[in-house]
Parts: sequence; C-alpha cells; structure tokens
Amino acid sequence: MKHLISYNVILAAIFIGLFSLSCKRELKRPGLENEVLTPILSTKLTINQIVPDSVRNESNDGHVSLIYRNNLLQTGLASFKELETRKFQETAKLQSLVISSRSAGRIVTLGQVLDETILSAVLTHGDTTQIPQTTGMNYGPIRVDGTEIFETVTFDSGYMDISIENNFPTAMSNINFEIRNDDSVQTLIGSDVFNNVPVGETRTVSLDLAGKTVVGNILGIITSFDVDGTQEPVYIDSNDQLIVTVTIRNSKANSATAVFPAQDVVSLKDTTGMINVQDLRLTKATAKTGIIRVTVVSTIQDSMNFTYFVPGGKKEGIPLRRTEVVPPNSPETEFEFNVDGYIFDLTGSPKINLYNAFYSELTGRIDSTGELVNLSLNDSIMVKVELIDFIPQYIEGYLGKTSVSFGPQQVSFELFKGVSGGMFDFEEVNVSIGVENGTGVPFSLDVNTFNAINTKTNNSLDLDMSSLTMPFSIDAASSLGSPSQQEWTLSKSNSNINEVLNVLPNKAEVAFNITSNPDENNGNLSQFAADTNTLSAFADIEIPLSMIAEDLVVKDTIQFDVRKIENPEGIMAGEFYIICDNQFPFQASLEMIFIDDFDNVLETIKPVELISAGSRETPRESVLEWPFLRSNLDRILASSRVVFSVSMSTRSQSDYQKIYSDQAIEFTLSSRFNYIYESE
Amino acid sequence: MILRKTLIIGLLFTSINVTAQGDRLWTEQHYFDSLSSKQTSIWGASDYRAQSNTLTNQLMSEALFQGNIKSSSSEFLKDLNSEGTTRLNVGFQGEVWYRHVRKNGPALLFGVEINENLYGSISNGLAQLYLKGNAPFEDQRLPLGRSKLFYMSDQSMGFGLEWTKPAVIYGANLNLIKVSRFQKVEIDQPSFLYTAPYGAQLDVQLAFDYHASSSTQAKPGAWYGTGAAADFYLILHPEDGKSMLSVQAKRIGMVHFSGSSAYSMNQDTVYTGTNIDNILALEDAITTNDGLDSLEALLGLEESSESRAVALPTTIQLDYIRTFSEKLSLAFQLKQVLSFGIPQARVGIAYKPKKWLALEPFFSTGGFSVFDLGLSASINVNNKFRLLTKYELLESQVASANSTSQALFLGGQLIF
Repeated sequence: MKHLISYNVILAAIFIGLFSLSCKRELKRPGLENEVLTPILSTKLTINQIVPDSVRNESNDGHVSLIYRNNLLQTGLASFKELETRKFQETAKLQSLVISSRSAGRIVTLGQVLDETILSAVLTHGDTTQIPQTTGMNYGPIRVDGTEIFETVTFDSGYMDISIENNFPTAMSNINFEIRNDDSVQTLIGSDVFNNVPVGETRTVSLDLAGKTVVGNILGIITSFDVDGTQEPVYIDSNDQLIVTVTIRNSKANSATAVFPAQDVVSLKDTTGMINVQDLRLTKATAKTGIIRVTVVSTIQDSMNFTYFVPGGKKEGIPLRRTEVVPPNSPETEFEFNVDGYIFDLTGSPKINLYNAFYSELTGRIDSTGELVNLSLNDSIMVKVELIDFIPQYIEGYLGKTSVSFGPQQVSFELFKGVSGGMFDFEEVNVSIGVENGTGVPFSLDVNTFNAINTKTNNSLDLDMSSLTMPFSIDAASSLGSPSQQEWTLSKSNSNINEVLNVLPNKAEVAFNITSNPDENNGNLSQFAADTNTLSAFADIEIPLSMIAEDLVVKDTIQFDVRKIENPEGIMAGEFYIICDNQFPFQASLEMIFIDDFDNVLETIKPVELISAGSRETPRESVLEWPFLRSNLDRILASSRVVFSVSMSTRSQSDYQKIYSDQAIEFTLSSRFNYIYESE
Repeated sequence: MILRKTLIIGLLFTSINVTAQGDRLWTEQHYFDSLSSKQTSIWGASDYRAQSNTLTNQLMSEALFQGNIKSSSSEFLKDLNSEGTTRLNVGFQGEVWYRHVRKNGPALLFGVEINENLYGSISNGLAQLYLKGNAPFEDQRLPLGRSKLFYMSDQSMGFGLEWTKPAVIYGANLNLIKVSRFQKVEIDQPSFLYTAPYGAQLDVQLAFDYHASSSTQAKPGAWYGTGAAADFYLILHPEDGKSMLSVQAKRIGMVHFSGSSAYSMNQDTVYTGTNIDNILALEDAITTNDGLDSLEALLGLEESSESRAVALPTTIQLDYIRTFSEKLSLAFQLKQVLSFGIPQARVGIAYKPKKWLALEPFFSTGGFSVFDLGLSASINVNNKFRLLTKYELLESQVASANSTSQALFLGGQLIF
C-alpha cells in the first residue's frame, strides 16, 4: 500500500512539476489487450461448386449425376506416313541449236575482171565497142567474211544460197564455182554452176550445208565462165559491177561457236509418281508443309533460265511456277520451292495416272547475248526433282489399310482426382466406351487393355469388357464437319465397373489396335482425312449421385500467403471455430496440415468434433473447435501451403444417399483470440 | 513594496475545473475568509483530473502514466451493465492571471491558460468493446450509441473586466484560443454491435461522426484552430460577510477549424468475414479480395475535409459559501458541463484552526464521477501570499481498483 501511495504521489508530483511540458505530450492510445471474437471467412459450398458444370447433370427433381468423359486415345492424320514422290531424275541433251539467218556480199567490178582475163586485150574503158563471145575464163578467189555470225559451225541442217547480180554489159553463162573455207586447207564446202546470168538479172543457186563445217571466212572461186558477148557496140565502163551474195538460211547447228539467238534448248514434261505410300491411293493432297527440291547439272557454256511448272499444284488458284537461272557450265545447282498450303492434284492430269502422281514441266532457255558462245547438241542438263518433308493437312483418295497399335499407355483419370482414400458404392454406374471418327475412313477398334490404377495406393483392376463384342466397327465420317460416333455401354450388371471405380483410379492403362479400311475397299477413292479431324476413343461415365460412402478422403492443397494477414503479431492465444450448416447426408472430419516450401509439416489442425450429416430438408449445425497458442500461430504463419483433408461417410451405410443440386454446406471460420494493441 | 515589485513566478498548474475568476472569489471567501477584490494580485493554478463513474483509478493510471492497460485492470468491465453510460473527464490545465485594481472603474484582468481536456459520455458497451474486445460479450448486443468524446489541446490568452460593488462582484473575460489538437466523436443512439455465438457473424449498426484536426505539426507550436471563449461570473456577498453565492458560466465560445478531416458513417452491416464464393477456388478468392478502399465504401464511410466551427463544452457552476464562524465554513457547489456528464454536487467544510491555516474535507458526487472524497489545505500568509491544494488522490492510493476518480489541484496567489 505504501508503495502504491508513493507511486501516485510521485506521479502527480512529476505531472505537476512537468506541467510546462505537459502540453507537449500527445494524447495517445494506451496499449491494451482485447479478447476478439470475429468471423474470418464464410462460404457456402454447393454440389454445383464441388462438381463443375462440365461433369454435372441434373434431373428434373434436382438429383445430380456425374457425367465424365475421359479421353483414352486421340490420333489423327499425323499417324500416316510422310508422303514422298518418286525422285524424278532426267538427263536431257540440247534438242536444237538455231543459228540466225545471215548474209554477206562481195562486189566484183568489170575492171577487175578485165585485169584478170584475156578480155583486157579487146576491151578498154571508155570505148564503145562490140564485146566478143569468149569462153573458158576463170576468176577468183572472192573472199567473203562471215565472222560476225559465227566462227565455226558444223551444221545439222541448213543451206548456203549464192546469188549473182549481173550489172556487166554482157550476159554470162556456164559460171562454175566452188565455195571453200578460208582455212589452211581451204576445205571445199560445195560447188555448183550458174548456167546463164542475163544482163541486169540475178541468179541464185543453193548449197546443202548438212554435215558441213563452215568457218567464218569463206572463199568463192569461179573455176570457169563464159562471156556471151554483144551484137552491137556497147560502152565499156570498168566500174560496172557483179554483185555476189552468200546467205546461210534454215540452219540448225550440231555444234557451233556462234552468236545464238534466244531459244528454248530444253523442254521436259513428265508425271512424277509418289513412293512409300503403300496401298494409299491419293487423288488430292493439301500440303501442310513440304519442299520441292530441283537439282540441275548443266554442261552448257551459257546461262540458262530454268522454269519449273506444276499446273496441278495450286495455291489460291495460282499454279506452282518457279523460274531460276542456271549458271554456265554448272556442276550442280539446287533450288528449293516451299509448297506449304499448295493443293496438289494427284491424279497426274493431264497425263492421267488416276492417283499418287502429279504432272510437271521443265523448260531451259538461253537468251541472246550477242557474244560468241560454243554450244553443241552434245551439251546436256541433268535435272533431279524430289518432294521433301511433305506432310499433308488434308488428303483424299483411298487411304489404305493400316493397323496401328496404341499402348499400353497410361492416361490420366481425373474423376477422382481429389479423392485419396475410402470406399463408396454407387447405386448405379454406366460407362460407355465410345469412338468418334472425324476422318472419312472406316476403322475397326480393339480395346486390348483397360486397367484402372490408383498410383497412390498401387491398387489396380482390369475392367471386364467381356460382354462387349470386339473389334468395334467404326464408320467413316460423312464429311469433314460430321464425325461419326459410336458407343458401347457397360453397367454394374454386365461388368465390374463399380469395383473398378472403387479403386479410385487416377490413371487408366489402355491399349488399342486400330485398323483403317479393314475391308480393303481400295476402289473407293472418296475417302478423306484432315489433320484437324481425329479419331478419338473415350470413356463416358455417368454416375447418379446416390451412394454409400465410408471414410471417403478428399484432399486439396492451396497456397497460403501469410502476407495477407494484417498485423498478426498482435494475436496471442485463442481458438478457431468452424461453424457448419450441413445439408449433405455426409458426416465428415476435417484436417488442415500447414506445410512449408520444403513440404515440412509445421502445424496440424484437426478438431475432434465431426461435421454432422444433415439432410436436404434439415441442415445440421456443427461447431468444430481448435484451441491454439501463439506458438501454434507462429508455425501457421511460417507455412506456405495448407493441405485440406476431409474424411466423409454417408449417414447410412446401408441405404443409398442421394445428392440434390439445392443441397449445400455453409462454413464460417471464426476465431476467438487475445489481441494486444501496442501503445502508440 | 519590494514584494509588490518582485515578480513571483507562479506555479503553473492544471485544472480540469477551469478555474475562473468566480472560483478565485469563492475560494478566498471559503478558505481565507477575506476577499482580495480591492487589491491587485497575481495568481496561478494548475489542475490534473481523471474522473469517471465506471473506469477505475487503476485503469486510468495505467492508461495515463504507464501507457498500457493490464487485462486484469479492465476485467471489471465484463460485469458492467452495457446499457449504462460511462462518463469520463481527463485533463490538465494551467493558468496565470494578473488582476489590476484601478481607483475608478473595473479591475483589469490579464492571463494565459493552457488546457488539455478529454470529455466523454459514452455507452458502457463502447467502453467494454474498446477496453475488452467483443469476445466477452458473445451473443450479447453491445450498445455503442449515445456516445460522445471531445478532446482538445489549446492555449489561450485572456483579458477581462471585473466590477466590485458593495454586495456584488461581477465580471467577464474573453480568451483568444489557439488549438493544437482536436478530436471529436459522436456515435448516435441506435448504434450497436452484436457478436453471434462463436463469432459466426458480427451485426453492426453504426452511425457516427468523427472530426479531427491534423497532428502533423509538433504539438506546442501547432495551430489548427482559432477561437474565442468568454467567462461570466456574478458574486453576491451580503455585507454581513457570512454567506456568498457565486454563479459562473465558463468557456462559452467557439473554435473554428479550417480544413480538418471529417469521417461519417451510417451503416447497418452483418459481417461474416471474407466471403468466398467458391472455397474450392480459394487462392483466386483471396487474391481478388477487396482492398481497404472498397471496404470503406462497403461500410459507407464518408471522408471529407471541410471547415467547421465547434462549440466548446461550457460549464455552469453555482457555489454557495456559508461562514459559521472564524473557524468553520461550508461550501456547497453545483456544477454541470453542458452536454457531458451529469450535475455534480460538492460539499466541503473548511476548518481553520489558525488564521493562516484552513483544512477542508470534502466530498463530491455526480459529474463525471460517482462519489469522491478529498482534502483541501490552504495557507494564508498575512493576506499577502496564499497557497491552496485540493488533494483527491486518496482513493486511488488506497483502493485504486475500487475507486474511479482522482484529481489534484494546486494554486497560489500573491496579493499586492
């Protein structure tokens, strides 16, 4: 007591003494301890939330059924082999070498002739005199320069025309001449005779050049000729002319060093067949991806424009056409054409082959460069064409008989994903094994294995399908958008499906044999397949929620973020309450396990009380209590995840309990705890 | 004379009773049997008071002096009738006044005051909720309404005139007020909190207004509001000198605040915790929980910043002094702080064994308290220097857990 008196006196004295300072003090909230009782969260859980729309069906009276489809297999066009073409390889020589028609002329004057012949003795320039008939004279050689056209040509065909225009005052006859190469040996190209060339007229004779080799400079030699003479005196003019013209026409060279005009030198048209397609008979294919590779080897000493044209391969209506340049004397030039999205007519049209082929054209062309180029019909190009990585996205035709085995493979079984243990018995279970075929191909399907597996308990059980007749025949889809679907049903009465579901499978091991065109009707070219359309197998499960359950354990793990709790440091010891209003015919126990990032269990909340089973008409209230100390709370706050575990049993273990859509369980989580407010 | 010319530093004390000129006069009559109304004087007083009808001295001392209220100290609140009213008055005051007597005309008064006062009249439910939390009152409806809290820290400078007549003294003074801190809360009648069993839900009906000045500036220099208050007093003292009647009205005035913060809410809400639409998608539900802004909107909390004038709590006080002899005097006081508390009655008998000494046991009832005992002691040195103390700490020292009020007054006067 004395201490208390002193205490207050001292306090008062201090206060009074420090009055002048008192106005500096703030009126602050003192620290204190409260007992807080507050709801933390509330929620209402209906069967609609427990069972998502996608797997729930509701009858008129609100009775809920689980409808679940578990995909077992899905396959599509990718299962077909990659398509390949026959490797089209062809070597082609030049088909022709056209030489341009060209002419060269030479003028011989009368004076030149007089100088070379005996006529000079009787005829003098400027005289007017009668020209006497004179025979047996010769003249030449006359040189003609054709090097602007070629250096040398060995003709496959063609002609050399020699024309004489006589402007002398007398006719000439019996002109025998020779055409020789102006080379070292003066090789004879040809010879002929002009019988008569009247005054003022022109006469032409032709030499066949086939097989002849002609050089650019040639010689014309008049081996003999006669002068017919005149009856009357004529004026002698030494400038009068005899015009000689040499023309090469209609010529095709076998080989030449010449200036070639622009011309197609190669033209190939062929149908390319597909290989490695087994018994596929494809009439049409749309390329998802693919490349046409063209390899060209050329001995031609000139650049060649190379065109590859596939009239039956179209994209947006435009045929596939590519033009590239092959360099001179190219050992190997490779061109690749992307054909993604091209639709190929595989009937081989216009060279009808019905299926597995496509028609293409190759053209090689040289341009006129004005340069002398050496070409020969022995020159050649070699062309290789191949279709690479051709993956169709759509095909038509007969798609062949192919058997494919799938599995054994494990597929996820999600229906009991959250259930980790316990036993249940459904009043009714229906399972349908179904197949949906989006391709225009009939199939047969054998289900070899259907083994339900619980990987957590290592329990498994084979589904008894002996009541079903296998293989299943699967019709072709009538069109791309109209898949065919067929189902084969199992129930509690004709299988062990209830026992299989009691395994609480999270996996199913399945194995199938699938055969396309089991009847091998290869005359049917109207089949189709698209990579977007699949062949899928599934299990449809329908379970009306009328069941008996015993210790059915449902678990879920959620993230737990302590940062969302404000000012947790003020919370001391207390008690959590879970207040439940339950309409479901289940009683349940609840457990929450708080774990850290390393899966260490930090705290476990397991109220001793049970959630009482209610009914659709009468919800039952239960209060679950869990006292905690600050140390418990610290461990909870240190956790990062919480594992909810609910163990449920139906109210009755002999009568099936039905679940209706309007049933719910309402939860409120509240807490009573001491909270210390620190003074400000 | 030397004394007259000597500056005496008066004690600076506080008084929740807002010592005014009328108090000086009845005090002189009661304790010293001599009025100084014809003499120039200077006096100072200070007062500390923590009064309540329900909150124990132990609780208030812990709150005021330790800054922490022990849970055991507030345990008694669990048994308190929630429907009742808790009255509360905590404060400090200090004043120094100079009274100059002139030959002709009224005396002139000059003074400065410092006040720091908290007035409260709140429902017991609110006090219980604040001090104990809601858990002890599970499945009970805690009334929160009819609650008012008024807190102001201010400094003022005053000027007054006082007329002295043969049997009557009357006067008035006007104080100019600078406010450093201000808070005011009013919770209306229908407000309540119901905590369902196990805390399954909280049913809250809350209608309140809260108005506060800023507190960012340091308190001594802060100036958030400006006002004026007047004191009026009338003293009747028959010439026989055996009785006196004093009537006072203290702190009639207003304070104006510009740009203070105001919050108001009128909402009836059932709170069931964070509502999660789908417990199976709990992670999403938590991350999409509403923020504080939305919560405020949900509760209908309206915030504003506005200028407003606030009336000061005015005190009406009546004192009657009956002097039986040179040694015995009776003082009866009736006082009411308008809008807060209930009328307070005080009775004291001053015994003067010596001319320079007076002792007075007194008791009071009502007001912000229930029943308080106190002892006053005064010294009068030749009517030149007077010292008075009113000691009301006895209950808190002897039975702090069972008593509810404490106060201490100390004043001094130098008469020239």
